[in-house]
Amino acid sequence: MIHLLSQVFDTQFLASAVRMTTPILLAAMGGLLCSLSGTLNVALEGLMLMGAFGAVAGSFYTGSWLAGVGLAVLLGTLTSVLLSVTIIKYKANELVVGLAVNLAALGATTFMMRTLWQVKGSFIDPRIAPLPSWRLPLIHHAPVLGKVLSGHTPVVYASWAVVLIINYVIYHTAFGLRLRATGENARAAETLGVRTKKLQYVAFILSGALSGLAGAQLSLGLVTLFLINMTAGRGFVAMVAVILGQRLVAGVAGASLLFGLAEGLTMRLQGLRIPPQFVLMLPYLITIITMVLLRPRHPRPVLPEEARKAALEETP
Amino acid sequence: MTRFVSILVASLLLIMSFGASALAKTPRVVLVVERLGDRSFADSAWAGMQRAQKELRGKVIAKVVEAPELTAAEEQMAAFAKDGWDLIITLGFGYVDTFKKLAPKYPNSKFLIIDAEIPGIPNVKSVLFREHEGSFLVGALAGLMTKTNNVGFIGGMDIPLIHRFQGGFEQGVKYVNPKAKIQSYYVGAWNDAAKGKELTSVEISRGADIIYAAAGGSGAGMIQAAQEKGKYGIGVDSDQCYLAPKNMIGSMVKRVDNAVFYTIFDLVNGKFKATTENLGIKEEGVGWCGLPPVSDKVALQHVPKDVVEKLAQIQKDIVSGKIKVEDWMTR
Repeated sequence: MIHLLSQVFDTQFLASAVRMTTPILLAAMGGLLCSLSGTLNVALEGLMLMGAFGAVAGSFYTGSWLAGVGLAVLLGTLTSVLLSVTIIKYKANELVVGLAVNLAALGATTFMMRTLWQVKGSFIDPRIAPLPSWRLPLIHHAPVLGKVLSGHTPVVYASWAVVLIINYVIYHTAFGLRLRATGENARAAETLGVRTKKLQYVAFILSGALSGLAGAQLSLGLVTLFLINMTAGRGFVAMVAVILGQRLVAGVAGASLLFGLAEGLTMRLQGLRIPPQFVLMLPYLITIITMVLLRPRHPRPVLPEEARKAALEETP
Repeated sequence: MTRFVSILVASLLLIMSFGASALAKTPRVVLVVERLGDRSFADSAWAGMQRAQKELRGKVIAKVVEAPELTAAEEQMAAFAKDGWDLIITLGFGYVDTFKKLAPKYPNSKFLIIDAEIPGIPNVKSVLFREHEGSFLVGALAGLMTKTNNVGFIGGMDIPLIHRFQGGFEQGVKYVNPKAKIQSYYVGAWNDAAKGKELTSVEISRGADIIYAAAGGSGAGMIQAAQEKGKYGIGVDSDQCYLAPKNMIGSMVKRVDNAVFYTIFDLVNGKFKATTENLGIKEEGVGWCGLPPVSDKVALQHVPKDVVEKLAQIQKDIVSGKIKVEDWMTR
């Protein structure tokens, strides 16, 4: 039994979980910002796919992974701006437009891949520069932590920084307070002088940039290629992470890690006489169980109760 | 979006085909696939179409249509049948019901389905492959080439058809190397290259030095893991050696192109028969790309001569029936 456990839960498993968590984590952080601002971003999957494509294209044409990451963020952001205009300015249904963007991203990336590179299905080329793996000073030589935390791509480290920054901005700055106020009660926030639409645009822009970055980790970090629909549902997993994490920064980060660990677990549990169907079911099973066990919790009220009531009464 | 595009494409094709029908009598053939570019199954069928266009120039009009979803594909096939196209080709068991509906309705058109069987309809031909035989051969290759006595298999989805690949491979390894350890894992998706790569890394970390993937697009991840870790990979369906010449010792080729080409050839010569063909090594339907007629140079540069000779002998023994490969699909 101990032998069996040591085969599953070794440092390689944790390192692999860290790698696999990153795209989910980044997209989920983007989804969280939209969710906190009171909108719903269903297009994380499509934005991530645009990012994955942009990363490969940028890296292929310049030979620099940095350019790849830049183009990934740019494509994700532009697509997200387009989406946000239809939702915020033209009041389109978030769900419908979001799903449309997912389908459009699938079509657009497939089309661009075929037109630019005359390949169908997947684009693999030695000229695509992958993300490098960076060693963390000090930690790299630490016994267990070194193998788990060091040797990852810059995007992995960036994702950790993103979590810390978002955590600070959301809970400790005026911007974060206004963003949450917008999500909680846009009308009340408006009466207090908050420019809610502007905040929602910002949330969508950041969400697009983060999802694009997630795509770069997928196509230049985990592998070095572009494959039609290669996000394989990770954007939707990120959406679930936002809900599972109760819209708290730490909660969403934890939920993303949970999915990353589950994904890593499905791989390492194979070949141990457990039916593969059961193993592949695990991430979804974990989702359902945690959703049932965790009671829905309301996000912390931003405005004091009386102020909120007063604001509501003032508006017709 | 996809739907809109496919309708657009369909109408364009229809307009063009009205033009073509003026040519009269030249047999018209259409291949309806989900998506080209899998670098394996669909592309191989496409290669057969291209060969027909080249070698039967002027005697046949050949077209490929992509329809990423079932309903769109059904509409496409119905439109072509209605327009009187002579041969409609598709791939995979997903279209069995569509063909069963369409074929009796359009008795003047012929239908070819690959990788599924529809018996008893006079204008439908079915082609099946004995992938377990080809997989046995690459299994023997892996069993002979492994230095760690440990090899891996990566499957796309955990479905009976892929069990057939896994089963043939495992039997082939055991035939030449009974002590070898075999790890067989499943990705659970055809389009998750990242997971395919991580899974391959797990197999390698557990000792495997040769990995065979039958996993569609996810298989590209196997090839990249093999490249990174300096191990050998074996591809599937089409010859995938060119994707990583330093790390590929061959592919289990499935000659969908031959099946498509010869069916078109028969049609042009008025010899189309609505039978079920079951193509194995004997019929040159499956095999290892290192042996003739493919004789892939990339594969042969890694595999020593004595191994090639042994595999040629195993191939002969399968043809003669001396080696019987069990089919795990029905197990």
